[in-house]
Amino acid sequence: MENTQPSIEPITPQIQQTQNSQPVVESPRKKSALVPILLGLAVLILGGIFGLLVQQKGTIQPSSQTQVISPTPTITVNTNKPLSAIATTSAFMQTETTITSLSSAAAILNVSDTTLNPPTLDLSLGLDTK
Amino acid sequence: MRVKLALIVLLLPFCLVLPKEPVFASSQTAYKDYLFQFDDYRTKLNNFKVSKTEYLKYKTLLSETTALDTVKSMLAQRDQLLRSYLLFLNEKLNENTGLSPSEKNLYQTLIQNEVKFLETHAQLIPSIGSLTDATNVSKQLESHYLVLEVSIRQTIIALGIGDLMKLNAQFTTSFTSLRDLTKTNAGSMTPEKQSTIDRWVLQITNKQNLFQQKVEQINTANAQIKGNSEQEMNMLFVGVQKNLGEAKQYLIEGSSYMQELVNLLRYQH
Repeated sequence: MENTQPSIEPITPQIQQTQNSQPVVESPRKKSALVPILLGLAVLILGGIFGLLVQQKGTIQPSSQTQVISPTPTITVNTNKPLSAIATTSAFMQTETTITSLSSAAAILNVSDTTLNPPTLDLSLGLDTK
Repeated sequence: MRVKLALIVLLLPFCLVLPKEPVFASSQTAYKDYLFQFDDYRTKLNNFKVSKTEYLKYKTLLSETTALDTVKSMLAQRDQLLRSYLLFLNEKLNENTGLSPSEKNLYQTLIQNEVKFLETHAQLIPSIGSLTDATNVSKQLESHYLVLEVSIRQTIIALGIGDLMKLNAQFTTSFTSLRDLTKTNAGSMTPEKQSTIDRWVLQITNKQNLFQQKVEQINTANAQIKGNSEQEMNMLFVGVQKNLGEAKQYLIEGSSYMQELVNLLRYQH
């Protein structure tokens, strides 16, 4: 009896061949595709950490370097009240500006300037010449 | 021509940035000089104290010569120090825009008199030949020192008054502007509102009157600053300085009343 069945080519050697051939040909491409993605991810992560740190610093350390002391009494502006006719005139606004400037000038004026203090001298020589 | 125009355009911003108030730099320069002279004085005073201790302990000719050299150097520097301080005060008077020309002249004359005294006193120092001479020359300054201190303190108070008067001028300008505003718009106010406005105006006027009375009180007290001792004089000086603070407080209160009046005018009701 003749063997009519077609010869089945062994598959595994081919698979092995393909497996062996792919890493040699295709791995540099995978690497080059991954690098920008990894770089982008790294930038995003670093940026996020930096942003968190800045936020934390802003909430934990309130600014104490400069204390803005309002020289004028605190006046609450009630926005519910309708403005008068003169409130929008230039004369009113100019007057308001000069009064605000006056309040600031009065608050910072120092009538006892310590730089004017004279030198304190001990005049006696204490020489016993006898 | 174009090159010249381009140069002008380039240089113009720098000209605008240049300091516009060279007058204040003058008192700052004088103050720095005063501090420098003070440092030099402290050094020479220390040198004198060391040589004095040596001389009083050993009484040798060498120690006496060293003590004489150091005391002459110290006495000269002391006069220079006081002179530099008076020149600083003089510059501050020049810069003070609140004092009238006659008031400035009065205090600058006081200072000039003291500067002349110190210059005359300094001329005695090179001829000092012994420690006894040094003691006598020093005593000349000591006997005049209370007069010098009175002049200094009166000038300091005057500078404070000048600053207050400058502030008062600003106060008057603001108040006049505010009163004009209330008068111009009197017809549009309700009687109740007008009554409140009038009360605020009265309060502000009262504060300014109190300020002016306090300034007159300060001027009178300043002319009477003297004493038999430095302590007595300092007590009077401190009292007058306290009055300067009270005068300032009147203007602060008056300006806060003006703020309230502005707020009242801002709204319809």
